[in-house]
Amino acid sequence: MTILALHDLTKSFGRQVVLDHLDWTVSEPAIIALVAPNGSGKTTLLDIIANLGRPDSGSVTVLDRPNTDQSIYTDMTYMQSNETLFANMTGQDHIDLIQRSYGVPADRVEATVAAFGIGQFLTKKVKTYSLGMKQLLLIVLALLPQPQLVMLDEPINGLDPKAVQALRNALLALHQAGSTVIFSSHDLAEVDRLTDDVLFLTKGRLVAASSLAPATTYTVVLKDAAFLRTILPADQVTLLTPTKATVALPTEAMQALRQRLAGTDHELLDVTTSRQGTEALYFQLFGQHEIA
Amino acid sequence: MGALYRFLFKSHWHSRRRVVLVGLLVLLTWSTWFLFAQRQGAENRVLEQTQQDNAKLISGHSMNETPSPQATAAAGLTTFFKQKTWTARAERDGAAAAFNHDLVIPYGATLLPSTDRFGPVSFTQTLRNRAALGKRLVAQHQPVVSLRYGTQDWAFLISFLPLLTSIVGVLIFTVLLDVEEVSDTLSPRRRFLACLPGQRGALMAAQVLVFMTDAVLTLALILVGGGLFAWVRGGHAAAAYPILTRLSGQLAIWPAWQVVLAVAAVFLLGVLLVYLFARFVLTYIIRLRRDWSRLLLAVAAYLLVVGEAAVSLLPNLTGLLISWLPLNYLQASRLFYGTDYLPLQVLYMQALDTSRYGRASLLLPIRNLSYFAGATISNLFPPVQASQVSLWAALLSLGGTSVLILAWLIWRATKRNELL
Repeated sequence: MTILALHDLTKSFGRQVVLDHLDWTVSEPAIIALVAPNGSGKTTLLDIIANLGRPDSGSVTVLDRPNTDQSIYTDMTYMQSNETLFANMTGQDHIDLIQRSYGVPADRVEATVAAFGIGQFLTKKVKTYSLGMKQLLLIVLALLPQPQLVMLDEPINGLDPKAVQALRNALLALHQAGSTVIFSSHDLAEVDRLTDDVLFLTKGRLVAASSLAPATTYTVVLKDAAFLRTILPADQVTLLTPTKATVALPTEAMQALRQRLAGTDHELLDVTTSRQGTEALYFQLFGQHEIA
Repeated sequence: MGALYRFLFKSHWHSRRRVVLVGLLVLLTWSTWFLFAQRQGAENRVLEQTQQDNAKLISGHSMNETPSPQATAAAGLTTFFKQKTWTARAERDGAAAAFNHDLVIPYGATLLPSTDRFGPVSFTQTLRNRAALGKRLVAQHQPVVSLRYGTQDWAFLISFLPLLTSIVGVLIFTVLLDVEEVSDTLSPRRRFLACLPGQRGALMAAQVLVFMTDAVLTLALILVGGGLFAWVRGGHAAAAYPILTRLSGQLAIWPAWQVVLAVAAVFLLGVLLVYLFARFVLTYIIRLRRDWSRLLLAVAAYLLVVGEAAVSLLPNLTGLLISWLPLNYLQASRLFYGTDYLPLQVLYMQALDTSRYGRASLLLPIRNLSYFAGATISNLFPPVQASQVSLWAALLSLGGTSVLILAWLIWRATKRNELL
């Protein structure tokens, strides 16, 4: 069974192309992280999958059904932003609705609520909740039905470490039970803890982290940092100050660079390792804020 | 859908904005009632004084000496008014007595000299209607309560309903109730509900049901408040007070409570139609991508409503087709007993026309009409088309159009899984 298949998906907002003939297929249950800077189209992509937004072109298949088929929601849940909660209703009201709509057994409700420790504020209205409380409620609502596909839009935002651990355990358990989890996040360390299956949304396309050369981000000091731009691809160099820059390179390439510049006017005066893993790839792909 | 309905209903009434708006609507209506009743009371006092003055004048005036072509009519009127008990009888069964004994004979043309916007107003039919109503009152041993100037109990509700159920009333009522719906439609909250299993069609149906429940509750609150208000003022008209109506060209006398319920039902259908139409337009305005196409749709919707309203109000331009268009029936009380005060004023002015009917005729009109001067639906259309206009036509037109729009919206939401 194909869990998810996107074909030739395109979406633009005015001149900004956020999805550019995007193709993506998920055939096996997995935990997949969707990573990209703000405004890159992660939420737009998830919305389109859930048929809450329309693509300009292309098609979406969810669990072997076109996403225009209402029955997909029986086997799929989508945790959206906390603005989707009804502020004047209590958390219990929301849980009751989900329980009745999906026929969730009461003991599972109790167990999930207990696992995330939200029982004590369920009787209060959502408008009194903090960001973290709203996030926890949304997560519980998405996980309660134990569907085949769960999509979570930035679930880690505002969570304390204990809640993050509960989320991690819940997602891993769900995955072990055969479900697929797709979540977006800016917490790259947590992404690394949860999965190796990371997708970067860049320039309207999805790029798998596994397809990129393993990279490390180094912070280097030299007399003229701008010189690095003349000998390395521009997207691998980010200028921090006139004499400091970060470069994202595989370890061997970094060694070669140091040897090449040794004894010249552009000798690397200091080299420190700043990032590794997904974070390094992220900065390799998207760079960081440069000096003016 | 039950869980969704309960959730939405609860969320509406937990909204402070909703409670404030409905509260404002009810308070506004009650305030209007108060002003309405005050004005009615003042007008009634003036009319009563006029009636007494004329009674004195007539009793001391020999109509036989009147040298005019109206002699026959005047003689009949004189006979009638010279009865010492006329005032009491007029209060009780004046019209019935007058017609039963041929005491009132309209002079000259059978139509009132003026026409209202929808055509001629029949003087004889108007008086016959009064006679029929008078008979019913006599049979039920009930005192006459002028509905035009009713300030008490059911008579009061009957008097006030035309204001509440006017097009402006329908729009105000719908808009105030619809604020929460529109807010839901534009709010991200709906995205949460839209991802529940098999719910997009159900979501649409549940929203409509919740809206109608809200509308029924609000209307009930208004009517119960009106009843209590009139009761506190010392009302005495019974719920079974006969109301003269003309439906499908037939004269009918219904108990007041039935008229209130029927008007309320048609009113609610009208509110439903306005709500669905607005929802339909709003849905497509949101879904259309280009600004110019949105603007075009909005203008088209506006023209449709204004155009139909204009055409349906024009005299002698109504065709068979237009009698089925729903906007004709949006003013629910017009369907049952007319909402147009013009015929009433015409009758009043005619009564003042001493050159034709004599001064005595001042005593007849207004006070005991008990209905809106016969300005029922039969006056809204030329006679040949009156048969097209009936309660069933109204229900079919309002209900049918509503069902069509609702079916389209639910179909799109269900089959195409669109978030409408």
